[in-house]
Amino acid sequence: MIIIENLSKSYGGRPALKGVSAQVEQGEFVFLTGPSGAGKSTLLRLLYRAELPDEGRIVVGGTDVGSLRRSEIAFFRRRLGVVFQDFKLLRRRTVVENVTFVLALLNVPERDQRKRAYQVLRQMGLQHRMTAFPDELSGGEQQRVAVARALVLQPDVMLADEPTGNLDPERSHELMELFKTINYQGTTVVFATHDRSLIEAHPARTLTLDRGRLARDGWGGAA
Amino acid sequence: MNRHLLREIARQLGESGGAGLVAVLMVLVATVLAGTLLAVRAWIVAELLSSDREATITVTVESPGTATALRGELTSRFPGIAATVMAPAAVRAELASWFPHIAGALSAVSSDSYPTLLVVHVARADEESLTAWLSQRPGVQLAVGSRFWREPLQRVLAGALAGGLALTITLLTGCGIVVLLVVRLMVLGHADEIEIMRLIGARERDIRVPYLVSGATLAGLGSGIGALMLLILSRVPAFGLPLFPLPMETLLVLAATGPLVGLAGALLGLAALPREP
Repeated sequence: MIIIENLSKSYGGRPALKGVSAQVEQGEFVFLTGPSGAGKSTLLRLLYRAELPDEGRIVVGGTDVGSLRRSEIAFFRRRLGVVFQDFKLLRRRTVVENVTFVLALLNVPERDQRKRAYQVLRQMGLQHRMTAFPDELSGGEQQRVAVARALVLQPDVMLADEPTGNLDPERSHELMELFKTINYQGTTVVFATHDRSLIEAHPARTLTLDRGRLARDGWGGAA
Repeated sequence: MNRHLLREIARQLGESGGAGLVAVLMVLVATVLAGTLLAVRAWIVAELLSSDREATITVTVESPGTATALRGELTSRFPGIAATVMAPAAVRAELASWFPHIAGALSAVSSDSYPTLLVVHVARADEESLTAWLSQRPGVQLAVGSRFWREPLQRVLAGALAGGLALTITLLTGCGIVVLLVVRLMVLGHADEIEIMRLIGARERDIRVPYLVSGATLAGLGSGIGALMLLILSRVPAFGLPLFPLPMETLLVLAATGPLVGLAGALLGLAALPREP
């Protein structure tokens, strides 16, 4: 479960979020939408503790994110799966190395790492590209590698920050189906997008931000 | 040590390139210099400056007869003292044995051109008074105690050690600065990658430790090779260097200095890495 209470954040005096409150239940799929600059990415960055709020409180899976010590941040993030618009893959590592990166840090035996990587990459339809480098993949493939990487630790919560932003409509819908499958398997998904067609095609609870405020909390993409 | 760590260290060592090599060489030179100074100092102190070692007074006299008479007077007055008369031919032979490459030239010079010497071995405590007594004897041209060269040698040795220490510290500091710059440049170059690693769950130590190990390895390579060279030079008789074998503890301290310097440089270099909010 994600609890967001009266969240505010500003940059150099310019407010990015103002008094946002919401709650996302375990296993729920939630779109986070709004125009550019509405505060979607800021909210997600606060959720995965890349930044601290000026005011308010965030609780993710029982963890008060704002009160995490620096040494606890990594362990917290390992419980989340985060997918970014620009994929954020490690360019000098192969697909399988990207996916197993955190497993290697956890000293998971190499055989188990490869087994788990194969499982998630197969789920993404990328089991044949395990030894490729990110630059050898299409945008859609890179994003699926990023999803595989996010999934490999079987997170309770997936946060996706405009993951379809660099994909064509067909790839976007394919990726959307993947997220829905992940959600059906019990993972909470918060999916930020400004693509209304995506929301209309895959109706779900939608939090709409506008100039840093939560303008709407409802079903589907209706205005 | 996990695969990520090994891989990052290998990559960073490769990326350090020429600057890394400079750091290695600086520590290598500093280690060999410091070790050589310590070995030479140990040899000089043990062989030439030891307080247990007796002093030698070299007396130049007019003729072998005068020398023999003086020796008689000396040994009757100071019974425990040993003294040797060296006739001019013996002096020439002694010099020829010291400098074999010019032995021919020395032999060509008439023995009349060499002095007659009386070499007196005496306890350090009696050196000064006995030198004064000998210099006042008739027929004595010059009486010089080993203190004559021991004190300047001590001054030269102290100066050489101070200079060597300053040079060693300068080289080690230079290496630390090179490692600092190498690590700082790498951190800046890897900024995007580091951000990604953090976002997907890497701990600060997963990110920082490879840089620290790389910095320590660069400098440690230099000090390790330097210590190995010193070990070979001081232990293998074939090199015939007049060095006292450096104690293993000294070699280990010298070998450990490099990693510490590299670690300090890397730690300072990592200050460029922004922390999580």
